[in-house]
Amino acid sequence: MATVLYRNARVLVDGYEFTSSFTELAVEYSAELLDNTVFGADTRTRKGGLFNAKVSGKGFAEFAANLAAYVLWGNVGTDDVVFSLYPDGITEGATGSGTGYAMKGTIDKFDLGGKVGQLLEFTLSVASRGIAA
Amino acid sequence: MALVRTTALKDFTVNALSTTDVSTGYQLGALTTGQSFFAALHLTQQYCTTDRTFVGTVESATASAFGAAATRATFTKSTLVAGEWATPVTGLSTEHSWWRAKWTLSTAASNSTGGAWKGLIGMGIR
Repeated sequence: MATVLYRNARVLVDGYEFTSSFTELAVEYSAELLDNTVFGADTRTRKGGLFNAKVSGKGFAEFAANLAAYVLWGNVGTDDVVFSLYPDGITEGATGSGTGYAMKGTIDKFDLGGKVGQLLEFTLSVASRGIAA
Repeated sequence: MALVRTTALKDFTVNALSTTDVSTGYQLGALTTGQSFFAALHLTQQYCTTDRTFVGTVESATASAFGAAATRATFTKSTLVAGEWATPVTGLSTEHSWWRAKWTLSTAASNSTGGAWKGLIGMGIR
């Protein structure tokens, strides 16, 4: 099995690479399910609807200019931020391992906090803007 | 479009670009009916002592030689540390299955040398 040891993810946000700040990253991709069940059916039927995409992550907070916590905080609510995520490194020309996911998004949540004695962490949530082609 | 699966055409996040050139061409497939082409640029660092500019594009062609290449995306970010999502394109030739990145560094006499850029150009079809 070509399983992936999740240790080489790369994350780029606009003009910054924040790979060395993140400790967790997740891509959520889904489609709405529209119920089109009609009378006479014995089982609910459904039809695929609109897509949704979301990126979430967690990392260590660093506050210097150009570092993740500083930049991401400053971009909360900003539309059209370009995100590229490569779960298993970046390989030019790849069609399998080494490929990534990209979207235009809006940072809808940036939280900061933690327990005493632990490294201060941030959590991030980014929603796709769904720009039409 | 919510999310696009992407392939890196040029990863220059580590080794900076300082001369006009093209990437290796990759046969990533042609668009089929209803599909769109997407491309993203991340310009993460810019070392430039002059006002020399970086212009990135993505080209497609029917063969690996890129004899009659067509420009499918042009990025306008040139001297900024920034990201850019190229205007998506639909209805492209179904014969163009080869893709590559191209970058041009301005060559005006006053600023034809110097400068280096780091970043990433990726594309996706969906």
